Amino acid sequence: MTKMRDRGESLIEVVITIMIISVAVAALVASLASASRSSLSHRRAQDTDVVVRDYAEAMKLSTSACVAAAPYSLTYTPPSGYTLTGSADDGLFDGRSGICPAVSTVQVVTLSVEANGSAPASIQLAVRTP
Amino acid sequence: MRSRRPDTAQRDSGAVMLLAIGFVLLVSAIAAALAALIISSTATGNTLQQVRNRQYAADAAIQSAITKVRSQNRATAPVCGDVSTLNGIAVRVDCAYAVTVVGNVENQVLSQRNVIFLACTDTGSACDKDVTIIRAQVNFEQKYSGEVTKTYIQSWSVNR
Repeated sequence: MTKMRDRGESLIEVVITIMIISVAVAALVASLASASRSSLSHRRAQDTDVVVRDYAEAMKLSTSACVAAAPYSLTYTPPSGYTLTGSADDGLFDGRSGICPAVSTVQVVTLSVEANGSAPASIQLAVRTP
Repeated sequence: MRSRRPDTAQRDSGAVMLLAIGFVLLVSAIAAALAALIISSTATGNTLQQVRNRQYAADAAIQSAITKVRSQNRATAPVCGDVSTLNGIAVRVDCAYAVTVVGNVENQVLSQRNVIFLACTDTGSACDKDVTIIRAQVNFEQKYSGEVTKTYIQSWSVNR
């Protein structure tokens, strides 16, 4: 009788154990998948952030020797897969080239970068004639 | 001779369950660590983005302040204290003269119009050096008539 009872308990234990372990493993796999997706998403966001910073620094370099009302142009080429757009509050910048502002004013420029599978990043900066 | 198996089996009864519970706890700990990692990396990304936005906002605010001081009378102290909002961050800029003199080729002493700009997140009071985002010293080159011909950035330090 004891032997039979032990056998039955052991079977129930094993079945319940397998169920618990299955749930735990499923949760672990889901967590790993979520962490992996999150990591990829953050990497893309950081990559886009780097591109928008480079774009902004190229903008500052291009306008560092501005002469009032003279044209300027950016020479920055983004990595493949990224799209650059830009605009200015005075309408004198199209994302690639623009017109330097007068010495009495600043040009507020908005730069945006978009990439496939990533949220767009944008930044505003001010350009002036030295 | 009596067999010890029933006793052993009775003592071991429930051991598998304990092992399973231990395993579940271990998996829970790993899942919690992964969740903490995701939260931490999200927070890090957001912080870096905020810092970037703050620095470019401070940069723009100082550019605007330089443009404003450029047109001000050189005989009086520069007037700043304006608050501008860019990248969603309100930045205040304060400024003060940093009077210096230089000698020219004829050894004549020439006065230089230098201005120190401090940009900080607006709190309603003047920028303190401990909370300054950017400190810049700018030289205003000008004619005798007072017209500024060019501005030179002499120093530009991004502090935070």
